[in-house]
Amino acid sequence: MAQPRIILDNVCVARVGRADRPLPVLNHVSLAFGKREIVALVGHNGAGKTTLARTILGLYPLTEGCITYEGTPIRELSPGKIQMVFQPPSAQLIGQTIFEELALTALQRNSAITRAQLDVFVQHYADMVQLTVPIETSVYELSGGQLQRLCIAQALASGAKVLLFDESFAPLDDEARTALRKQLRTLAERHALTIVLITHDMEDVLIADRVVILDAGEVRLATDPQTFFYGEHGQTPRCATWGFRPPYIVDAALAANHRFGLSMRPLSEEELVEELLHVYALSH
Amino acid sequence: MSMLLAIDNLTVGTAPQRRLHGLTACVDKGEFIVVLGHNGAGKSTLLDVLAGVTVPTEGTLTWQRDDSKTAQANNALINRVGYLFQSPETGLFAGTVAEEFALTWSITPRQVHARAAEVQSLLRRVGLDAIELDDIPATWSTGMQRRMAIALVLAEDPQIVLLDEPSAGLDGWSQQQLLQTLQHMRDEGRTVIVATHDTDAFISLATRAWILADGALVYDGALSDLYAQPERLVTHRLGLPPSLRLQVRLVRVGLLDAPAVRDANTLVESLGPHHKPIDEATGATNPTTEIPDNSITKTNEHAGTVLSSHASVSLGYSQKPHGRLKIDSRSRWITVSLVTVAIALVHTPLGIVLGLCGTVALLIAFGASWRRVAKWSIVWGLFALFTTAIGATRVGPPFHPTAHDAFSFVTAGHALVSILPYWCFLQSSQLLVTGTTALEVQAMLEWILRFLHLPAQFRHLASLTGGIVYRFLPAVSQLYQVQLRAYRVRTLATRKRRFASLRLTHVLAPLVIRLIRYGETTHDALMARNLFTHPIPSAQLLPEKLRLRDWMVALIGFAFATAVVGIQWFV
Repeated sequence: MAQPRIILDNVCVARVGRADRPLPVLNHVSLAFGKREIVALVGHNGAGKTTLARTILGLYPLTEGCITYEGTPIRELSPGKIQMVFQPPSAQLIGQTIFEELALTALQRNSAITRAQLDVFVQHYADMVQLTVPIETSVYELSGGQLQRLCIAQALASGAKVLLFDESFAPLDDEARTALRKQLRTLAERHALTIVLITHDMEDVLIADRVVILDAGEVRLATDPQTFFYGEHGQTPRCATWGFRPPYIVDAALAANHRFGLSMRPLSEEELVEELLHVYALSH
Repeated sequence: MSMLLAIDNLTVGTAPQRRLHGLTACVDKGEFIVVLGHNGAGKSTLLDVLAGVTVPTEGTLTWQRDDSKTAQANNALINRVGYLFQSPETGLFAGTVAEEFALTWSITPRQVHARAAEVQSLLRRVGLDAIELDDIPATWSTGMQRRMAIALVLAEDPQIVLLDEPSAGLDGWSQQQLLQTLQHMRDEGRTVIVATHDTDAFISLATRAWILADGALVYDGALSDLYAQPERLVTHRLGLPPSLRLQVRLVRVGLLDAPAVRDANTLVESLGPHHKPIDEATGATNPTTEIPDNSITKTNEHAGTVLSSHASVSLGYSQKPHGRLKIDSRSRWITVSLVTVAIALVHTPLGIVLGLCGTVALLIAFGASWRRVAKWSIVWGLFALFTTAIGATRVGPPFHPTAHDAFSFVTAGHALVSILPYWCFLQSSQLLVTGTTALEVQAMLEWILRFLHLPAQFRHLASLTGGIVYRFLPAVSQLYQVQLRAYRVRTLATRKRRFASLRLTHVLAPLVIRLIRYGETTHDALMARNLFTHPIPSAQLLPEKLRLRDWMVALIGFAFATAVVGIQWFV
């Protein structure tokens, strides 16, 4: 990997006014996020995942350490490079219709855009997240999942190079989740994006390049998904020791390894099916 | 199993915005039903109706009474519905942990302290350890708050449990904990209905599945049958859960005979070369997700039927936030403002009546909501009744030295005419604040100020402020509704619903707290999107040029206003 895009060096964050109780703060967090990289940020409730994302966005003052974007401290960064999808989705919408929300983003990128181009732009991003209602629909008529899609569309449309998603896929149905995961992978490659997914869904970890476990404000592990799910040198995988429910294909691969005496470590259904076909082609 | 609940032709909302329609089903005691549906299909609405929070527009819910029990015991059972609604953290508004439990149990916080051991055991069941009774849930992370909300539902000892996306936002460990708890409840014979997207997680617990599509029940049968026919999930735009996704692929390459409910070990045991596209034993077609199956087939279980598909029913979302006459917002605002100013200037009965006619014409032309018109009319009517009554009643000395115990109809008439303009003002103000979006308001302010050649900085500041204030009006009302709903759900059992809308500590105070948090998130989002330093270039959101129609409306408004004021002077 070339020079990482975002570097967190020994970052500490303390929350003011709550000295009496240890709330999620960040303790000496050092991480690097590269271009074309999808990082899954996992951890139990209250581990400080959202705090970390907001810190990267520059919303919390650091008590120690520094965060840089391609060498520039984020405080001095020209705006619009980093975007985040917050919780709850409705709080971050500025426009009152799907059109307005996305048109605004388009206008921020290029204020000379014409009305006709705006319509095309808005429809393109609405289609990308499978937001199938008319674009004039008021945001107050959208369901939770649809609002979430609109926020994701806005982040994608913003042209930012770093996108942070805070459990953005949780309220979506399987179809939308699967489609968006594929979409993110494609976008990350095509536009050299850095994507951070805060998630509890281990299926999201499958598409990531790296997984970071955060616990009580500290980075406990940063590894690739294969090591996370399948372990190394016969050790119990970290996924299991940390109490995460492994995805179905990992369970299936482990069961198949056991039955056929293999050592498969697939991260996608394609890989697993491919390897199983191989097993049967050899044995029959 | 005995029947617990019969749902007959349940409909919520009126066409074209029906959130549920024609839903007929029954629920047996001890069932575990998983409700599936894509985003916006009506799952939450259904649970709201079952919990008694939403009253259906049509149709009935009939709870079966147990004849061996008294009427009171029956009612008590029906009241023991525990409802974990979506984003249940909004329901934590009592303050400390002890106060939350006090509200649920309808006792005082001090009495909760006496039951500390019970509270601790409930909290441990949802994985909240080392929690003190005086801790304040509002300071916890969202995931912890959701677990607290689950503990409160358990504390009600519900016979019927309704859960809306219970696993969302929970870490893996808490999800396992939740599933175990639900399994216990099912084993104890309680009835559970769960709306979820996480089908795989509930597969071992579910006795039945419902699929909702656009407000209609399109599948009612065993979840295992759905797993054997994954094309149904695809038809209803649900996508496949991870376990099915893998199995469908394996079937397609001939390594598996047919998809079914299988854990990873069973799946690996079932692997082997299969080349038959159709399994004669079950008659199930070989699933290919590309081919949606629209045929109506019988499923075996539970008078289980696949109901006809209503996928084509539209939710009527295309309603544009504009009136009947599609007029540019600028022209609309100018017209309404001119007519309003004219009414404010006249004081003869003729002028007032003309102004009234003008306002009515505007309400019709811009397609104002008749409900809102009626609402404001009632407010105005009460005010008018009060003031006319006071103005026209003659009670004698010392207030009215010349008259004795009488009601002057002439004075009442005069008073009423002089109050009429206020009706017009109320109605025009609703025309100004509805049917326009915040950005349109902002763009309009910007346009008007530019028209007046005001400096750019002032223009940006004034229009941004106007836009944000305007945007927060509906947000406040929406959050208020959320908070009120949360309160109603939490107090379902105790039926403390009288004057709920005015409850200071349980609705209004948490509303303010939520508004502050909401505002913080909005602020953060605006910061991240850099909207403070770089004003929104909103001019493009309005059509570049006003059309002839827009000018005509503004011109008619101007002419009308001048005429009304002119009559004042000349007649």
